[in-house]
Amino acid sequence: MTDSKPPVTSKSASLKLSEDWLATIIGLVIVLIVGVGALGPGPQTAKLTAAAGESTSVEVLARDGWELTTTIGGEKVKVQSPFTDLKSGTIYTYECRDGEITPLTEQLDTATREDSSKALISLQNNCEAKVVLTYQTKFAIRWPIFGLFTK
Amino acid sequence: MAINQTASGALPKESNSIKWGGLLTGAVMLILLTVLVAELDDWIGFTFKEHDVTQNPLEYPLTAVVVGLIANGLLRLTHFYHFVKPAIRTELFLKVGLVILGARITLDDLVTTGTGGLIQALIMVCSVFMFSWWLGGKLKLNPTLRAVMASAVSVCGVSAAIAAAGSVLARKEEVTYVTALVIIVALPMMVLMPPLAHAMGLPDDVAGAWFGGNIDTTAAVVGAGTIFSDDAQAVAAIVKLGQNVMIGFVAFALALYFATVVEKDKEGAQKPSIGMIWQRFPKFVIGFVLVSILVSTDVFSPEIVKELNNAYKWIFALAFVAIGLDFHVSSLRDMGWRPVGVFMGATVFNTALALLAAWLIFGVLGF
Repeated sequence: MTDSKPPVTSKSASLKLSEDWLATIIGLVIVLIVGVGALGPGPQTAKLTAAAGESTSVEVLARDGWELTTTIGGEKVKVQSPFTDLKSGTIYTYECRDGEITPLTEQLDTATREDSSKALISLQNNCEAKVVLTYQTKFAIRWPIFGLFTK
Repeated sequence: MAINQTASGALPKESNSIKWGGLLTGAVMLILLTVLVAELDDWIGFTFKEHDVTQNPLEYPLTAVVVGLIANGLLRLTHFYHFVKPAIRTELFLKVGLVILGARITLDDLVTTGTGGLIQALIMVCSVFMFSWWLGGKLKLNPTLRAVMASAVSVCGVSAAIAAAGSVLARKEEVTYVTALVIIVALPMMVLMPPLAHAMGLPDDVAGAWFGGNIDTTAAVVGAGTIFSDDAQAVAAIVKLGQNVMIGFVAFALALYFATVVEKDKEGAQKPSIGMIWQRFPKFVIGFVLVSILVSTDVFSPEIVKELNNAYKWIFALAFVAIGLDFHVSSLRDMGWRPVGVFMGATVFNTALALLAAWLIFGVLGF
């Protein structure tokens, strides 16, 4: 019975990709995955806490797609048009005044910082309560795993 | 009969599962070796920094090849080499890396350097092919071996050897010989040419064009470029891609020459056709150009481009480990001195001419 069967020539075999096309597809898929941010430097969180009348700042990774949550005296407040796409070597300043947090300025950082590839977020708290700004990014797998080839 | 059927049916299944087992084991091994390379590279860089040497002189391609060579020796010693061999896909890894490398090269650079690279490729491929073909004739090599060797030295190493072999119906052993020679010669060139270029005080673009026009394998070209500088790497890759593009034309010309002159009465020779040029065209170049266009038109933010640069470094590190794993000298034992002599002679000619062409095109004409 087995002998009478014609040799199997599966259709999948005829769909075999050449190495060139396979490399092109794999390469483009990697570019797409990295491009949409699915592979990146990992989920990031940066928190700025400033007591009433104080100022503070923090360096964060320069990248797009940051999300901002804010509280004044423990109460959640919404910030209109926050800075979410942060560029390297740029200072983003927020101000809290009269119970409202507003994005104030976006300017190039002329001071020499340890890592100018990052962005700097600054907060001036002129309110009468503690203000907390939390910057977060998500849905990113840590890449490269050990941060190598980047130094 | 029934027993025979069972036995014959079981064998392919078993060998298939062994192949998949080897592929998976090899893939895991390659990933671990690449991570080891990254760790070593980090440690070497740190050690140099501690001794006030800010730039790590042992770039990661060298570390990767050495790690690959050590693993190669251990695998052969323990008879595991052939088991994991299916996972060692140097050319594939390299092509993937080259597609992503497009992120580092803007369209403007691609057009400027690419034009210079194509001019250089045209000069190099024609001259080196003719010289190798002539030298092979003088040392009385088989026409098929001459064709395979001349293509490998003048175009792009292993892929060109395979393409030429298809066009002229070369024997499998001839392809194996040439492939082994290409890898054995490319590896020391990858290591020696960057310091030589530094000693000659070559600028980045001339050095890159020299590596791209001279070293046979694309992997070693990228490796030498990386060891020299980032800019040299980009130029080296573009010039080499220019030569890669020539494969189809060389394969077509060889098929035409063998069909009409050398073996016009031979059965089974590949018929020359224009379609052959597309068939042999390195399609990954399309991916490389596409990624370059995406980056040049600001589809990705600078941060994402930085991540893409990380990604290709990882893939290249994987390819360089695979180069070390691929290295073997056993295929050369029965070859005799004449093919080696032709290959070495052609390589010396290639080295000198590539330096002259690179200096003229990228140094004097300023492409």
